[in-house]
Amino acid sequence: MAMPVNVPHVGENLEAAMKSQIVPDQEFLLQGSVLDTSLGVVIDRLRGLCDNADILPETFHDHEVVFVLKDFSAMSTPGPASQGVMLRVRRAMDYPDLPYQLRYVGYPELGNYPALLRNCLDIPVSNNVCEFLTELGAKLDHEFIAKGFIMKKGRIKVTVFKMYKMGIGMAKDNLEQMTMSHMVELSVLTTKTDMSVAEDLRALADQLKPLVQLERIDYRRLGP
Amino acid sequence: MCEEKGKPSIQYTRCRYEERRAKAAFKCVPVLVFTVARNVLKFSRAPSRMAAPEGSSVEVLTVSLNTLRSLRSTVTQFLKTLAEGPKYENNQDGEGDLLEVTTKAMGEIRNKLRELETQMAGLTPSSVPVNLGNTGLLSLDPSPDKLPQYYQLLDCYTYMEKVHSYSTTLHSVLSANNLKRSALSAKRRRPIQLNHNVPQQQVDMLIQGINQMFQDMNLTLSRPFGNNAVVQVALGRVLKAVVTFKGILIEWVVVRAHNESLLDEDGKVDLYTPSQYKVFQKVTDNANAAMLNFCSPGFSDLSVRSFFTWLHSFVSLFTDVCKKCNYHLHNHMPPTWREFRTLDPFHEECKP
Amino acid sequence: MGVTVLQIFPDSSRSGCLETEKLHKRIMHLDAVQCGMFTVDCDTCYTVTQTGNNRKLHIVHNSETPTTTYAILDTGTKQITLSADYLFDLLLPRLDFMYQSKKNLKIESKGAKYEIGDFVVKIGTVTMSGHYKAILVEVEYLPCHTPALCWSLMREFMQSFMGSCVKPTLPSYLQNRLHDIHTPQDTVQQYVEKFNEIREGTTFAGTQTTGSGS
Repeated sequence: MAMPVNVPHVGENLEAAMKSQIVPDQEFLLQGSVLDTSLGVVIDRLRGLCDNADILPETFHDHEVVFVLKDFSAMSTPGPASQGVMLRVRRAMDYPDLPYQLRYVGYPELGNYPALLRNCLDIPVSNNVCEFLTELGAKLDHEFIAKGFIMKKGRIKVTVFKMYKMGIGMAKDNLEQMTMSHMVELSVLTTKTDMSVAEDLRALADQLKPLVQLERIDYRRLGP
Repeated sequence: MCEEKGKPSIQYTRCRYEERRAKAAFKCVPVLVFTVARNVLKFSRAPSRMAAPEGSSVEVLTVSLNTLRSLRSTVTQFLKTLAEGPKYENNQDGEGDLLEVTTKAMGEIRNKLRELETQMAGLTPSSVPVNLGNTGLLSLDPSPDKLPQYYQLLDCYTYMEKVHSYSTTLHSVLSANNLKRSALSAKRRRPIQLNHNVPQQQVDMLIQGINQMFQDMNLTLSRPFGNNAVVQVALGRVLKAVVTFKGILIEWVVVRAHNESLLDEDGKVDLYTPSQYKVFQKVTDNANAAMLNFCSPGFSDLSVRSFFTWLHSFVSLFTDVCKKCNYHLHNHMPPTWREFRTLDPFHEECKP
Repeated sequence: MGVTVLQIFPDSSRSGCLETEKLHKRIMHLDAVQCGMFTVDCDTCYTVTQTGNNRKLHIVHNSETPTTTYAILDTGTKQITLSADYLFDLLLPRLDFMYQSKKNLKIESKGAKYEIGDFVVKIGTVTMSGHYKAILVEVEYLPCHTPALCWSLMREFMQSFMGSCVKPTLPSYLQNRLHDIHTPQDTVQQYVEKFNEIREGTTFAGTQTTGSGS
């Protein structure tokens, strides 16, 4: 009896996708901030610019925990082993049924791109991810809560949110805000082969110009 | 000359005024008549059951129907007079005569109406009305001639009710021991209970009682279609079921696996979709067979209770071995049949 | 997702295909319907640092859940199973400064899948880096979700075509989860357990390759 054993392998599919560069693992990002007092104006402007202007922008309420995975016992030698990798776990507090998101964000690419370009992986995971990461050897770095609005224009994701501190025993509705302003982020996930969308991102940012100054911010230049 | 001309004109104006008043009054007459007629009709169409034990109410109903008929003919007569003018053409003062005739006719109508209303008050509405749910709103259809659905529906319900009451009576007669003298008279005394049209509270109480009978079987009652109850059953970690009631009779049973949802995508109770597993398809078939077996018109609450007891015995669906062959599996199925009396597990093929 | 039990089928002839063919014949006598193929593969990463405790990270894919990657972390004292989107595979190269996989330990079970009533049987040939190792039979009973309820029923079914190699006692993995609802993670964890057994050579280790597959 001959049995043709050729089930397409998950790993093979992924390798093929990697080879043809269709995995959306690149992120263009522009960031800015706006004072709370001008928030209404920015939201109104964005509603006009983005899709679905007729409905109110969707809100979100996320909790983000950032882990650092590195060999803590090793001596601090230069190299990736001492720097480690940041892994961000995000969960929607307003939709507890949704899976957790594990996010890997790489360092910004060098080069003259219209927006900040970096490697980025968004992986939906089961809700034991925090325990998993801890056992993997990662340590909790910091955590915060982000509350705000999310809109989209074509493939561009527009988020306007405020960050709050997380404390022990802090009530859900009694959050301590970090600043007196909101973050404005324009981002889009794309593949290595498709860079055309970056111009759209820049164009949208320019239309917000007098209100919000959206820039590519390189965190490495910001000192600790 | 002037006066001569003015006199009829005054009379004319007065007459016009009266006519206008009368017209305003007449306008509402057809509406009124229609409403009253419908009410009377409703009573007359109501199931004969409510009228049967009370002979007097039938008489009242006949009398009021007669009154209605004569009211209708008076109104028709009156409208005819208005349209064609009074019959006495030879009379010189035609307009005055019209006023006289119409006033008289209106008075008659008023009397008839009052009479009808008093008779209506004497009619007692059906003590246990057929609860039609939202379909009852069909009676508000202003043109029943086009689509006589409401009346067909009522006829259908009356027919069904008769079938049920005949079967109930027949059941008690057939189950009685004819050799005993007391049997017949004893059975007769019991009030005939109609199973498909019972107050909601009675069903609620029954289900609540059954819910407390079993620790590991959880019943949730809902009424997504108005009057009739739908019970969602969760039996341990073994199975789930939807039991649809019609009054206090079980109409339909669907059994599904523990992980299959009882609700459809819209969050409503899914009454029909069968389980994707062969075991539970078989159990569904057997449960419907059991439901029919346990059904007995005279003791409906007992039959519901025994059905749920039977269903509860499936808590050991996967752990029991067949009473006959002592194996778990036969044709890759666990024992899907439970004996009605002993609740012993059997395979489909091993049934005694 | 029903309850799944894994069973290593003893292969005394060490030929692999002979025994799977025997199982195929037996199961076809039970009115089974063959309904496709399956693979379960497992990659294992080890900690590269010398200090600290040694942890193993098993990366498992199951063709039954094609877009999920299971990452099972074995710290020695406990196991944590993470279900993730298969993009998780792309994350692994970024962690190579701590976890590195050993390619020659890649192990997989491939074979045919059968349906018999509410049972699903998968007869898999286990190969480790191309070398035939053992026969692994997975039996799933779909309608039931708690091992405690249906173990004896499943045992009866498994004995009907595998004979006496099926032990009357529950596999130890299920023994500890008798009353839990069975999840796809439990299946994958059992595979990892069996794969480890096969790797360590506690069961028979074959030498023949399964290049031809017939």
